Amino acid sequence: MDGSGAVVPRGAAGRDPGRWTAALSGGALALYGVSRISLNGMGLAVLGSGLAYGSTTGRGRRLRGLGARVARPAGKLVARLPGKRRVMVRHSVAINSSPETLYRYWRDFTNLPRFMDHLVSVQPGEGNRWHWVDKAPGGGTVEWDAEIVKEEPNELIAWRSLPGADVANSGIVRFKALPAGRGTEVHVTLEYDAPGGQLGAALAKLTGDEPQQQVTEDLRHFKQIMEAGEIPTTKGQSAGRRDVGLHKVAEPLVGDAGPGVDMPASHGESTGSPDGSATAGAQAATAPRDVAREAQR
Amino acid sequence: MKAVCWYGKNDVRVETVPDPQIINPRDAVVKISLTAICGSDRHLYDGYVPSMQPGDILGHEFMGEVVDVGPGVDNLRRGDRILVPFNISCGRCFFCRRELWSLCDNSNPNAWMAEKLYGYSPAGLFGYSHILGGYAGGQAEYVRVPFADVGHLKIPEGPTDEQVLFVTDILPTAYQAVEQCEIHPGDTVAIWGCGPVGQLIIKCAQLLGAERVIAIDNVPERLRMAKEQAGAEVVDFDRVHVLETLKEMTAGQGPDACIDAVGLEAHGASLDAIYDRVKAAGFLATDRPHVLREAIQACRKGGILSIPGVYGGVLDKLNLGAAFNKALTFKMGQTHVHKYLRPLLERIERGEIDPSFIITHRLHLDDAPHAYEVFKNRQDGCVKVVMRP
Repeated sequence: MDGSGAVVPRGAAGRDPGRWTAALSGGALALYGVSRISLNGMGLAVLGSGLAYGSTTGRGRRLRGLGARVARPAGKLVARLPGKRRVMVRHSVAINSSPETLYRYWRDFTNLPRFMDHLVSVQPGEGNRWHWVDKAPGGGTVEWDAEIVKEEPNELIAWRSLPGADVANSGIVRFKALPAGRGTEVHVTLEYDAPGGQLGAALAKLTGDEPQQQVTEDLRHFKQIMEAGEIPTTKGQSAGRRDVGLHKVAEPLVGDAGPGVDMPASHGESTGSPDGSATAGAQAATAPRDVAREAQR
Repeated sequence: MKAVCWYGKNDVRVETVPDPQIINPRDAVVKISLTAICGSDRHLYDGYVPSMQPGDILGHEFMGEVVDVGPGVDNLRRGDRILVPFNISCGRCFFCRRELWSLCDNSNPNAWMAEKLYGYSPAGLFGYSHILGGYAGGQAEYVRVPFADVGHLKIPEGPTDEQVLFVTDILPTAYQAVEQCEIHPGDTVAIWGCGPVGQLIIKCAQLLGAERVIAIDNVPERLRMAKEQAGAEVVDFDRVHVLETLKEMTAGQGPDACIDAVGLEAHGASLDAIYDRVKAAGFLATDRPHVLREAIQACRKGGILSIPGVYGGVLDKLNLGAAFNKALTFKMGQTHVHKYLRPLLERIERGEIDPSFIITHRLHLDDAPHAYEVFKNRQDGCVKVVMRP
């Protein structure tokens, strides 16, 4: 499974009435959102802009029309489960660090929950197997075993769930040094079989459980840990408000705005601050938005 | 603690809120000794900046004493007297390593929002909307400072708070604006806007060797300050035609460099204003960047246009043809404050510049609602307000 295959066929806007509808409604939504001059409004504006932009350029990866596209199978690591459809997401990021350092950190899978928000833990098992525990909606967990199927030191790691996993899934991460001391390109591809198929995935996008946004934020957090040594956050800071529900509307778009996954210090959580400005972060951190969990249902 | 909180248009209040705490390893907590209202705070006060939340603590120009330090900060101790740059920067990413501190990759927890608007996210800022991080600001008794190990300058005994406070924002903003002009001997620099930044730009332009400095505004006391205290030639745009006057003053050649220290927010460049205009003009019109247009038109051929004034949205009917055919160079952006901290402190210590001359109002933090009102309406000749908690 490499990163070169197109996930989704792309058509021209002119041949797709649905796209123009999206453009118009997206534009209207953007204007409405901006008019509200608030975070929630901005969320709408951003959502609307995404619709309008994606629809007119044919590049709407995030907000593609319901059922309008069908993903093309792009990898062979995951065996197709009957009655399920494959969902694949890709993202890449440049990190100001060496391939060796990044590879070493990632290869210790127990580190993954530090930047993958939906993971509770990943623990080593026998041989090259690892036991994954994922947050499930309503506070429970989903668990599965996965094995490393390919690895090239400092270049790539590929893993795949073992047969019998409720959510068949696989992933691959590649590290490639950039020229002139510019650090390392990190490319990640994740695939899983969703019971709801494309419709399920599209619904997940609309409700904020968006796999592309999630992998984007997870990789952003990986970069932040590797570069800055911590994930920036406002969770737990002071503010003159008590209603943490303020950010409800913005939440679905947020994915994860970056609260301290697993940060060592300390009083942030215990201050009893009424602050909501973790905003996005505070709530998204607990929001059920993992695609694997969606698939689980 | 007490903090100045934003609740909406023309509505700031001094509220009692929880004291800030160390949250991340590289945090510090600072007890504020002096804080200021920035010109850009006015746009928050006017309700122009989207993604503000009721209860947000304002303020991004502040200094004080370290009272708590996270385990990841090894170069600060309790009791240190420090300045804190208004932008928050990790110091280790591609951009910070290139001294492009205001473009830090890692300091905005809400980077996704900025990415939707701008393609990529700039650094997080203190007290300046959730698109730019949602960090609590420093118009308060205490403030949490993320990435404090790189985001501070220790202030030795000697200079007063008032002398050094503006190194957190408006002095380096002025300095960078002038540096971008690449001043050569004999150069004339024209500046639109005689607010606090404009006044300091005049001083910095002189410091960096400009032959002549021409300042443009229409507020009498600001023009007076520009002339008498900062030492510029002044142009009152209510009384004369700016383009013709500048041409005359420069023997028909035009200023070598033009600085837009106004920006667009004051004229309604924010997204909501764009919304109004877009709606009115059927998705075609957006904004009226009057100062920018005038500066482009006024600048001499091959000159430099430096833009420290804040822009946020989409511009329309910009005379890019004039810029192109006169081969102008544009330089702009939020200030890379960290880069200028030490050099500017040294200039202050050597007596080369004392930015405190712009302070017209010294108030208590409790007076913040009044202070915002006075600043907004330019009452009592208000140019710059500082507040002590």
